[in-house]
Amino acid sequence: MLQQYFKQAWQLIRQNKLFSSIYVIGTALGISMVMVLAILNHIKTANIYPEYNRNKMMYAKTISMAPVDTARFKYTNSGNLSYKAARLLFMPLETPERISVMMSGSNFASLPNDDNLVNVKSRYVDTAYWEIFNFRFLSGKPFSNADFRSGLQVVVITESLAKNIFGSSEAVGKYLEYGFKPYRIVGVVKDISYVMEETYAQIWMPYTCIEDYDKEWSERGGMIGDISRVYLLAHSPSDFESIRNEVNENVHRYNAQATDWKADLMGQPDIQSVAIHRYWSNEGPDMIKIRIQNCLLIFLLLLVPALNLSGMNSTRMERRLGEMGVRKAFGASRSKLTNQVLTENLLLTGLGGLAGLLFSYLILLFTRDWILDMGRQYSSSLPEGASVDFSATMLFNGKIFLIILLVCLVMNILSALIPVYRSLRKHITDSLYIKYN
Amino acid sequence: MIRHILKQIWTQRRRNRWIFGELLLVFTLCWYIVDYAFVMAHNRMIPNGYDITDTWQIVYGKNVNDSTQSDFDRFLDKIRRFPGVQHVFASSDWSITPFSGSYNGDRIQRDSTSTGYYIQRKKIGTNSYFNLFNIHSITTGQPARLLLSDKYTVMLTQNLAESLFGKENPIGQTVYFDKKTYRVTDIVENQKRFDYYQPGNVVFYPDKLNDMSSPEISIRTGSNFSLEQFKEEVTSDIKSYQDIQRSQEFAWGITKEVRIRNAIMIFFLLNIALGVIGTFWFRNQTRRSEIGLRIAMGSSHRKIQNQYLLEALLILTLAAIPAIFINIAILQAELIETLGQVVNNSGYITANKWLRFLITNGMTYILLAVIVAFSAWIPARQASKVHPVEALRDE
Repeated sequence: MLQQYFKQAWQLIRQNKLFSSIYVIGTALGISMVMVLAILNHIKTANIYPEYNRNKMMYAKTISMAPVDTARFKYTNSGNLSYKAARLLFMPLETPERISVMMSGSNFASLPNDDNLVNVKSRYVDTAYWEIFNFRFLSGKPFSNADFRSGLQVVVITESLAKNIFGSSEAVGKYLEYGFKPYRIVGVVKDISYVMEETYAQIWMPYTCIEDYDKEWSERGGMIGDISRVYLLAHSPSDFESIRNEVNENVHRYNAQATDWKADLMGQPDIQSVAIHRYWSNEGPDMIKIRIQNCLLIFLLLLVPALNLSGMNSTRMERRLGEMGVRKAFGASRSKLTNQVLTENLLLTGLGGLAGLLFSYLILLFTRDWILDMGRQYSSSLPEGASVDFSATMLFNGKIFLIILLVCLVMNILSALIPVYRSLRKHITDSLYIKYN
Repeated sequence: MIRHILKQIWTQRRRNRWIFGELLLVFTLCWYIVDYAFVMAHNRMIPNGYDITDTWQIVYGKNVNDSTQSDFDRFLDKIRRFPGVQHVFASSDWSITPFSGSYNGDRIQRDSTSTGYYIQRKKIGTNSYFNLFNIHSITTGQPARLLLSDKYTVMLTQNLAESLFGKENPIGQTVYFDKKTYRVTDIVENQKRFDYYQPGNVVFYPDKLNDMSSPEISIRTGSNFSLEQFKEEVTSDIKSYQDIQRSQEFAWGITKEVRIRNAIMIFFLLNIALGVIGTFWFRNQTRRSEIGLRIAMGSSHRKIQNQYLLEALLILTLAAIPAIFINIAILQAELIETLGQVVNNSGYITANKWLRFLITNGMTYILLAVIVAFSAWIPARQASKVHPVEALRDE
């Protein structure tokens, strides 16, 4: 039966090329916009190399310190966490499987005593970092716990940096200069796409090789500092609540003994979908507002083309009223006819969906330098030499196709159901009698 | 004619209501974007109060202290003597040059008890600053001049002087900020912080210390300046202020914001175009006989085309009426923001709620009318080509 519908639908499409093409373009337009949003969201939240554990991750970025005595200190201060804050609030946690601390920086890398300086993005990490994120090592391995504890100057670099400096990716055991200090290379990893916010870098080293990584400033309880991120890897998402409770207990304990400044984590640690919206150090994201805005945007982006298609569908249904009348007169039930028309329409919508998906890839290709910053107050321009590469897993995967199918269905229902329902409600005699005027 | 078309729209209301609904929705959505674009264009048209063409920023990468002072002086001298360099200004205060990321804010009053206004403070070490960026005095029309010998003097921008002193002559009066009293020596042109901002309140006052510990050097150049040669002979660390402006706008997200709004607007307009083309094309097919009859009865091709256009525009007009009421509701709910408004009662059109509403709705209507007319014209041309005999045979 379904096959029959499709055959019929295909005939209809071929008969009415103009209608079909306008219809397909209209659908493609609507769907492409939604798909761009869906793909962006997928890239930011799904498990993608090397951030395969995003669904089990929690993040802490900032801390806000409020003065106890507002006469002495006027303002609440906020900023990144300090090592002391991480040590007091996060490192003693027992529920998470792994806890890691990351600081980021950038400096020049080169061959020892060479003038060819490469500006690289670096991350100062610990050993747990390599277990939380699943980097693919082309050769060598992460620095060891012993290296980390003794603050050895060892680094892991990306394949492209190795090629840039040494001319080949065989770099393990060699030395390079970073910030004009020698480092021994222990591992080479596959390049990381710039879109991976937590892992994009060219060079990784133990944060223990920074001289005063645990320096405590005397102001604000020493809780504001240079740590970019604290990563907590949970055994499973069901542990999130207990991790949060544990963190809150630690904050309470700190605040109970604090005399001058009280700490506030503003709802952190965040899960992935919240963390991508946390930009400010002094307030958390208003997730309800963000969700409402996103839903409204998607609704409008689908509604406008759906209105278009509804108009076309209703005219088309009027023209086919005679056909429907005949079918009805021969005993076809209303549900059968509805099914038929919806299937026909779904075929068109599906074609539009496919075109829309391709179109959304094009949009992403041309806007990739800035589109990932969408929804952010500030934009960062690309670092020199970096390019935004979308890997196949970001663009072609089951989830994206599932979404497009869903969007097509919604579009189909939005645009065809009302016109079809209205025209089928007419009495047979009406349908048979009405001649198009 | 119009009455006739209105009647026809009414009889065909079942077919028209989709396009009507779409136009209504899109009118409101487009108005929201047009309003933003209008404010943006309006703000960009206001003079900046300074001029950055042919100006460059040079960053002296090293710190300057007593031992390196002579190096820096030599460097500065080299720049001064470079062919084509007209004005040189150096300062460690990075918040005073155009499109700088930093901002030095304060509040100003006539005296410690009167109403205060938010200001941006710019502490200037030498008067070459005003030559370099072409900041003019309102009173003399020449590049402005600070009275550098007296550190308790200040120059105000025109808008600030008007807010503080109204119609009184501000020169010689005193103002109070940073816990000190300053004497007003001159009034300068209104200053914008960014291109898309409206002018804010700015004060210029002397910088006695003129600290040079981590200097930024600005230069204005003439036509005989060669950038390549400069990079080779002096320093390659030179950027034009126009580039700085561009990257600043990018960093503040305005470039992206404009792109996204444009994309969404184009999306809606394309939808409208497709919808109108689709709707009227169908009409061609279903009303062939009517059109044939009209042509047979002596209606000209032009007349048929005009009828289509009028019909499409009338539907748009009918949709615009309820859309404008929705827009009024949006306006009254204070969902519309004014981009880059620094001073509330600026006297600009953007601060005049209803005039701005009228203009932006008018612009939206014209924009949509162009799209609708063009889209209706494609099927209309097709329709008027119908041969009456063909069309009538359909009957």
